[in-house]
Amino acid sequence: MSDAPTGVARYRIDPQAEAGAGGRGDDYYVASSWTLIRRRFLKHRLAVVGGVILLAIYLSAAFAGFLSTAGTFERHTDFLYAQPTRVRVFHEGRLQRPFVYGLRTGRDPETLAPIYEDDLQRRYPLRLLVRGHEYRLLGLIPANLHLLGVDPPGRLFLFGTDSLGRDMFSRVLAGARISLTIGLVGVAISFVLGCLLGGVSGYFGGPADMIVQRVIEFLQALPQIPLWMALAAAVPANWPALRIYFMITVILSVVGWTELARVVRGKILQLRVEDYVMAAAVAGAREGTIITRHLLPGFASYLIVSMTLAVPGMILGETALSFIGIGLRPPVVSWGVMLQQAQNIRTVALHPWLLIPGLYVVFTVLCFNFVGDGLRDAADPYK
Amino acid sequence: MVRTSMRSLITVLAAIGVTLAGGAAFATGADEEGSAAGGAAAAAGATRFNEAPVLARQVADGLLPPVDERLPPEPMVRPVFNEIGRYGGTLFTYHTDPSPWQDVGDMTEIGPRFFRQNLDGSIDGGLIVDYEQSPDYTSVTLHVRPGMHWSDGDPIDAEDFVFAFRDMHLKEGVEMWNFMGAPVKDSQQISEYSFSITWNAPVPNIVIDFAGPAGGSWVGIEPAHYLKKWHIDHNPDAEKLAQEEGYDTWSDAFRAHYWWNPQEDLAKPTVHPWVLVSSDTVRKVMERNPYYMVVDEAGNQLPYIDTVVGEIVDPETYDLKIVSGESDIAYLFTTFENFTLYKQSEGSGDYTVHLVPGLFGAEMALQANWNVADPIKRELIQNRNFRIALSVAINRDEINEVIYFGQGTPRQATVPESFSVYDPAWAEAHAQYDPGLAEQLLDEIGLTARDGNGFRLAPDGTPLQFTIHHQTIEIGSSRGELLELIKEYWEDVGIRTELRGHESAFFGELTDGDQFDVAVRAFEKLIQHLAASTESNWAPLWDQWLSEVYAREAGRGGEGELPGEQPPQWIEEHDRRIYEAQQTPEQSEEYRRLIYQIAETQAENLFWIGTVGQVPVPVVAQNRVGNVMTSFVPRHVWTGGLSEFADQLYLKDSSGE
Repeated sequence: MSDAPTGVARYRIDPQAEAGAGGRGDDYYVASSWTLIRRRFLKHRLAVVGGVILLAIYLSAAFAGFLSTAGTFERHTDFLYAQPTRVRVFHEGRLQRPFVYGLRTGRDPETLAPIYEDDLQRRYPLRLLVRGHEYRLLGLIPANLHLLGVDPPGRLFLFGTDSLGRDMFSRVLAGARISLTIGLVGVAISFVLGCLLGGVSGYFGGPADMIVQRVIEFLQALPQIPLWMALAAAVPANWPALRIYFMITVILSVVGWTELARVVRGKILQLRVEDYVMAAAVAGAREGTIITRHLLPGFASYLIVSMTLAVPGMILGETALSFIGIGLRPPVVSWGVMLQQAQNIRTVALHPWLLIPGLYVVFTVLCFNFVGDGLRDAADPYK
Repeated sequence: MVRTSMRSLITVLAAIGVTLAGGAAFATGADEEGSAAGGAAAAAGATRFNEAPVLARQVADGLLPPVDERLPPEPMVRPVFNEIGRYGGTLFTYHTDPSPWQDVGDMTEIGPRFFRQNLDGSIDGGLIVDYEQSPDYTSVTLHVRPGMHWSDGDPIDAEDFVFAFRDMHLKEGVEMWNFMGAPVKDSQQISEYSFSITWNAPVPNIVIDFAGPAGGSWVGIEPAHYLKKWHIDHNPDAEKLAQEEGYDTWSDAFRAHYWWNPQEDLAKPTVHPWVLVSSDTVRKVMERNPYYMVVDEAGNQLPYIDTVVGEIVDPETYDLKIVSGESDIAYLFTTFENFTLYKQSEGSGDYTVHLVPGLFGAEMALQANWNVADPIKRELIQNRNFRIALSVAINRDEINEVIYFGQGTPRQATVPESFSVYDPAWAEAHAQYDPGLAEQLLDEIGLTARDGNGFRLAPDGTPLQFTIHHQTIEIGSSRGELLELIKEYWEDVGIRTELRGHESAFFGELTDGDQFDVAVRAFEKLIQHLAASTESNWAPLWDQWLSEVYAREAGRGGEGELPGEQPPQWIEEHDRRIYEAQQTPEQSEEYRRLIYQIAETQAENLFWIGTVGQVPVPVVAQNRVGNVMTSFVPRHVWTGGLSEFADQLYLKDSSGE
């Protein structure tokens, strides 16, 4: 980013930039900085699209029960490793309302692979708002209404089924709940701690700086794998996997803020001697105000980039610690767990639809990055 | 004229019978059938036996003595599975593990042994041709096959065996695996080709043990002529030699020269069909042993294959190498869950997938901890009806269908059908799927109150939750899926269940104490698993107590208070039956009676709760490989046992040069 601090740019008259700004009317000069940020963000097409997709994914996670076509743990024992069901609109060459064929099932006597064939005699039209398995809307209200479904005994597996015959579509939706929330808690804790302690350290200097920096060095010197192993051994044996993971995430972020804090400190050291900060101090602004209103916005774009890069790491890292027993693992339903179970050539060769959670991860990560990109540009609305 | 000796297929029963009478076990002499094949072989060359062309060239160049001198006058004869093979070629294999456990070249499983067990359970002579066992089964005199050689050409005599037992098993500072029913007490050389071994306790089944790993390299035979100079009893300057070589003590140096995992000293001679010539972290190369003492029925010296190459790859690459047809033979790291994957590429990979019968009593068996620290859970687990409820809540047919494609056997944890003593009632005990009965039993126990989610509360109204502990290595495999199913079955009858994975070392430590509720592991065919002791963790504290009691009875134990907790009388009696069974001849009526008692106690009490067992194991072999082994000798518990038959593998496309 440019080193020109926001506050200074605001009052600098730059005729060339003004000329270049073209359509900027008077409202540009009277608009608040938030308005400018919003305008600028909305101009960033990718960021807007990414934001909309993210919103959709989060909404689908929140309403997973309503959108799903089967229970998360519901096993369809006769439909193991079923391919994604094809929704059709043509039957015998004639256009119909969307429907699916019934499935004839069997097992190849040679390879023991399950075989599924469309039974052209049986057709099940897709229906909206059907009654199905029980769930709790938003985790609270018991309900059994679903957006999409077919009449029994028809089956609708939009993303196919896994090794135990569970509907992948419903599991992907349910998995988003964990993958898109717990990791973010960790990112948020790291972010707050990093900004706060880095800010204090950089702004006040002296003994505060000394203490914070030595703590950072101490934390960075801790060897990570033994630390995790110790944590794994210390966790009570009867805790469920999800609670362990949440706790570990929190602990990791409590020790993981150090890098961000170092950068924040450096930036603050650089900015605090700028004239506009001096001016604020001379004008009698309190220290908290100076840090939050004058210093932090000066490098907000860096913080945003750092955050958006941390999110994918958290999603992909869900299962990284499973090998010592503290990562997410089955029966927890999350994208990382589903992908870990799909990481073998058997899946690639025989059941590629089990990799669909991977597409979700890719999309989510891309969207986060686009949004981050847009936010970074927007955070400097005066350029 | 070839005389093939030791081919008289004497069954174990006969062998034991003869021994009881104090006589010789194996008849020797010419065999009419062998003569015909031998005649053809003899006509082909000037020598009695035939050898690989690569060795014949070395003989012609004067680098090796002639084949007849390298082989003993009466070599072991390997009955080949399908046909007499062709010499030459290189066999390519892949492994997932840098240790010596590998397909074909498995150091602990590959032959020859003291005796050879055939697929029908009968026993032939091997390195040993004859034996006499004392009436109390505590000692045995063994007669070595005369005229055998180490891979460096040095003759093999009784000293090599006595060296292993007396100077290694009994020597402080030398680590040896035992694999025998009791610790070795002494071993003496009687003549050039005879020696004796005595044990601290009766070992009535030692002949069968000697037909397994106990009678092979690393346990029962070591090259005395080569290793002596590092051994303090044979070389007074061994400490000095060790220091010159950069070791602290003689035993460190000795270990470096004899130990096999990994084998550091490639110059150490062997009796195996192939000799390790190079070994690093990615690749091992083995070349044929010119002195290998086994021939086929036509008098051709084995092995047929000149070179075996093993590359170490990660597990996914291992499967890829199989599917792409680059792996000549694979069985040690194949998994049944990949059967379809292997099978679908049979044509393009030009290989065949064979299924060998599985021998595990249960792929996964659950052990509820009778000694768990929590008093409420302890009382529940020690309640037989509670364990029965846990067992009948499991839908084994569904597990078999979903995870093992219907190819396993839904059964209780007990010995497999192939075990010498077997009753189907053991496998059927409480193995039916009856959630109604499970609920009824749990209600009767008093677990009637439920929480908001429908899970049962403990009798005192506190939440009740059982955690199944497993190794993290199961995650992502079919075994992990099996655990997910168990969790669902138990939760369906109201028992709240969590799964918890641990890294394997920590898992071992955890399951040795009272801090786990339920542990899960494979149930191998070993009868020992049915009792409290030896590798069973359903009652770790009782096990500690019993182990120490046994040790003190044998005069080896420590002093002071006994560790663990004293088990009830009937548990101790049950446990002692295992030791009794180990010291009883396997063919006796007494053994049968003991096994019946042991297995019935397990079936009634469900120390282990079984799931699905006897799942077949895929053996994947290139179509160019002949004489592929597709069945086990009866006592083997794992696929590594196939390696014993690897010397007869051959390559159909070999030029024979």
